[in-house]
Amino acid sequence: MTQVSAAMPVSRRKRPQRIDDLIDSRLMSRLDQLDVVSRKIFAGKLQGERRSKKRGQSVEFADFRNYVPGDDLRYIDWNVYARLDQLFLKMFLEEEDLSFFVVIDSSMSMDYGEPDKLTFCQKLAMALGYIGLVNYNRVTLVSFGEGVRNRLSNLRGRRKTQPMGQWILDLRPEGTTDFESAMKSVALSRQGRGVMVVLSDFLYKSGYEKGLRYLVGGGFDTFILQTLSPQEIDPGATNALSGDLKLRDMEDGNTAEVSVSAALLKRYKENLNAYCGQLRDHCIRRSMVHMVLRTDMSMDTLIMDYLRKRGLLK
Amino acid sequence: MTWATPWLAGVVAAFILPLLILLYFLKLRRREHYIPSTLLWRQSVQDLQANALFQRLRLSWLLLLQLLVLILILLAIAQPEYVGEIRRSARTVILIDRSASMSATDVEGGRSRLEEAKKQAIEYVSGMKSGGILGSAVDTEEVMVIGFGEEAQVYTSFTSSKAQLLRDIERITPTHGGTAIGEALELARAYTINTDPEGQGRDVGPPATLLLFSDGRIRDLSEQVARTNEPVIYRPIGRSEGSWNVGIAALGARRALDDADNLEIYVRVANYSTQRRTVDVDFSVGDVLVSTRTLTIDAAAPRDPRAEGEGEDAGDGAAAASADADSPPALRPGANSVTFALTDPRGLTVGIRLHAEDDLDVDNVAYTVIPPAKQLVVGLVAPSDGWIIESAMAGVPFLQRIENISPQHFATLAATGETEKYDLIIIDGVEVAQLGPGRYLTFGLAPPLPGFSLSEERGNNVALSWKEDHPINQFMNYHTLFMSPTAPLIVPREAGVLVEGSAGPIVVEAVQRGVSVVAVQFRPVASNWPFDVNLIKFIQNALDYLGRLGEALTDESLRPGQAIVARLPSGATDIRITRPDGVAVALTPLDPAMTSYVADLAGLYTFRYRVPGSSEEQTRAVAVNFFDEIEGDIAAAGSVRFGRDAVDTIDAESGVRKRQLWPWMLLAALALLCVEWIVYNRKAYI
Repeated sequence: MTQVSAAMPVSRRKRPQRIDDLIDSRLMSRLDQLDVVSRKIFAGKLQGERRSKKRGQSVEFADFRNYVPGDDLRYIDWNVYARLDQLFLKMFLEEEDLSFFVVIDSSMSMDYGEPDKLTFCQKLAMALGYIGLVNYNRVTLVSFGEGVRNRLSNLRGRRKTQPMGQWILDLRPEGTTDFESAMKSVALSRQGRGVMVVLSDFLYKSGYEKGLRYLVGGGFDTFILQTLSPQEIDPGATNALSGDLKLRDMEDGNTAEVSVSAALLKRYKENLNAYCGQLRDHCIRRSMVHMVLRTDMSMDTLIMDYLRKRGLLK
Repeated sequence: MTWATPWLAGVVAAFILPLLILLYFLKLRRREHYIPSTLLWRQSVQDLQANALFQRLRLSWLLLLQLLVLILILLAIAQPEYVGEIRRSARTVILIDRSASMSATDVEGGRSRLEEAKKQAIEYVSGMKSGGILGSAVDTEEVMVIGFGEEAQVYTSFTSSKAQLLRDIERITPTHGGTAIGEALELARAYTINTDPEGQGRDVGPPATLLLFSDGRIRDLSEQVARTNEPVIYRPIGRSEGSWNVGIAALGARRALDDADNLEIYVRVANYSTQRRTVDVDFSVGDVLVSTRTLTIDAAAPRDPRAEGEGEDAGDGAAAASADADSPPALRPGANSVTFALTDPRGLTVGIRLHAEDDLDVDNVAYTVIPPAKQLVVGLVAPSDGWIIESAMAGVPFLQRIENISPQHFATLAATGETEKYDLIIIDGVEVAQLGPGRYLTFGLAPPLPGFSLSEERGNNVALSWKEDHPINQFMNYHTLFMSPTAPLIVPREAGVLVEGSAGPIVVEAVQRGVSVVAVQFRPVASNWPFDVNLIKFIQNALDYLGRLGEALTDESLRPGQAIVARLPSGATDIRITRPDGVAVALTPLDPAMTSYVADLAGLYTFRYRVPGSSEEQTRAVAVNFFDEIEGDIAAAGSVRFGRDAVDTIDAESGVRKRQLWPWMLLAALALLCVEWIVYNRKAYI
């Protein structure tokens, strides 16, 4: 890990104080209609499809199939046997709850942009978490930096909105990022199947590849939501940078001396696009969904429209 | 291109250039800006990132521009001069200085500067483009030639005829006068500016280039103003590294007050060179060498700037000519003087010659004409009781003789103008019809001059006041004067009243039409003066004052360029003047009694004329001397200015044009500075 500069900036930004600052009631009411989509659960929910030992636990009928020796006699449909003189096995949908992981990067670099990335992620996490809670998913929130910093596990039901909100409000941008070790411990701790959303800028000097490798598989649909501020996406248009500058990394204090010019800005944008493209390719190849979110997107549009189209919500 | 001060630019560059580069690095104390990650920026600025010197320099347009600006300023400090052929224009006015300093022989081959100037002018004229058979009239060059010294003269007005121009340039002769360019410029402009009422002020035809061949020793340069659209090119002639000249700066002669036979001749010699010089000074009377003295003269020394205000006339032109860095600093010539003594009451012509090896000969000779010690010849027109006046004159030491003139004879003299041969004519109560030219003392009559008359009423007149400082009234006391009742004088307004009486002026002085007169209201015999010492004092004062009126100890010495005016006896014929160069010029009198000749050379001029009735030729010598410090200091000015405007200079030896390029360098630097500003702003506000 790079040594942190002594003169590291301390965030003086006004952060959300109340849950209302994160999510307003109007949006909350609309979120009630949404649910988190898990492709993996749909694919593997039909009990006995793979003749696994795991039996369906619910009462919801799904289908019939021929009896094969060894099947549980309790699930034979005797009424059908009486009429057709053939043994059919009744299959039920497994009543499995969805694990919904929201992983938030709370390193110092998230305290950048207008609106800043952390606040944006807090709002998004609040909205997603709320959707998870109201749909009785098992919601787990994790914040990470040099490793996993905080965790709020296994919340379920609308009643948990308040503690979840408070946990999110307590997030503070600080320190550096070690994406690999953080993801390693997240991956080890997750149970069951479900959906995992990672909110970060993914601008890691040590690379995102190793960290993402831990998230592959494990029964989770992983959504990589790369959050960038407009100032990062187009520093020229936003007048964020001009003149001769010494750019200092907020996390490790590294510097880059630049004389901002049109050519440099052009090259930066090309590099950023290439970086995001590589990340997207990396994710696609590993069946993960990658999205770039601008922090100036409205939360309404993002959730009600964008995330639904991309299959995270329904 | 040549450089006037390359070493200066080198020294400045050695300090400034490293300083700029150093400052550039110091200057870039970049603003610190926090960003989430330098990851992408590092990639982007890999070659912008300025840890390596050359990488930083390579892309720093600002530094590049600043270096360019600095280099341009350094080049300007080095004073580049563009050297090229004279740009020929369709119309050229050649101005050739023919003043005394142009006679200096410091040009290669021992030729004079004027000869060199003429040679160069001829070369220029020879290179004239003539339209030729197929050429258009536009291609034809026209040249005008003006020679100037104290005065300017057009030798040829605009013409494209080479033959005529060459002939007229050859015609230019040196003068020994000073140099004033004002008149020459006025003349040149008169030919180049339209004087038609319709097109007044506009140029006639294409603008004319003024091509000035001179040594730059021009008195009135600072008074000139350069006109736009009138290119002036100065072509310095002569050596500019100090003047090698010793000259006579002043020559004076005087007779001793107590003994008019004793003469003292005072010679002042100036040394314009920066070396101490020892010269022999010859003193001759007529053609006979009388004495030779050796004189050592100090070298010229820098002028004391505090004393610059003094002697404005001399300092002005010299300061203007040497205002430029190319010119040697203004020097005050070293000086020494020598006095020769001689006993001779006759009129003499004294010559002084310096035996000095120098570049200018004209100031090595000077003359002065000394008139004989004057003994007055007085004419007396008086009735029989006029002896009183005659006896009153008996004791006057400077009186040669008294001639009694009868009134009839006087009338004849007055009519023929011969009255002038008397130093003074005294008219005592004799009515005369007219006064010939000359000087008169009248008693008891109104001089027959306009404005003078006698009052009808006679009466007593008592002196009330008199001008005590007037020479006539020296030691006089008019309070003791009593006169019988006399008609008071009525005098013109311009007459000066010397003694004012109770009933009008008693003594008045008037000068009219070549006649100087002192008129006294009463006759001495009609007063108590015959018994009073005041009569003798008055007569003596009047003789001294009127008889020697206008008399100088030496004849007036003229400067070259001034007119010699000679008064001739009426009827003089065969009037000629022999110039110092031996050329005799026949003159026609302007006026029956006067003639003049403009002396453009220094030296001794001799008037010769014949008087009717005399077989002997009359001669009169006039000295014209070159006493001019500006012209004597013959160091040529490397460049000249019209007032504050620098004039383009052409190198004398190579005959090529030198044009100062530093203003263009500074302009370019300024333009680059603007570009730098724009680039800086673009960088800063992208």
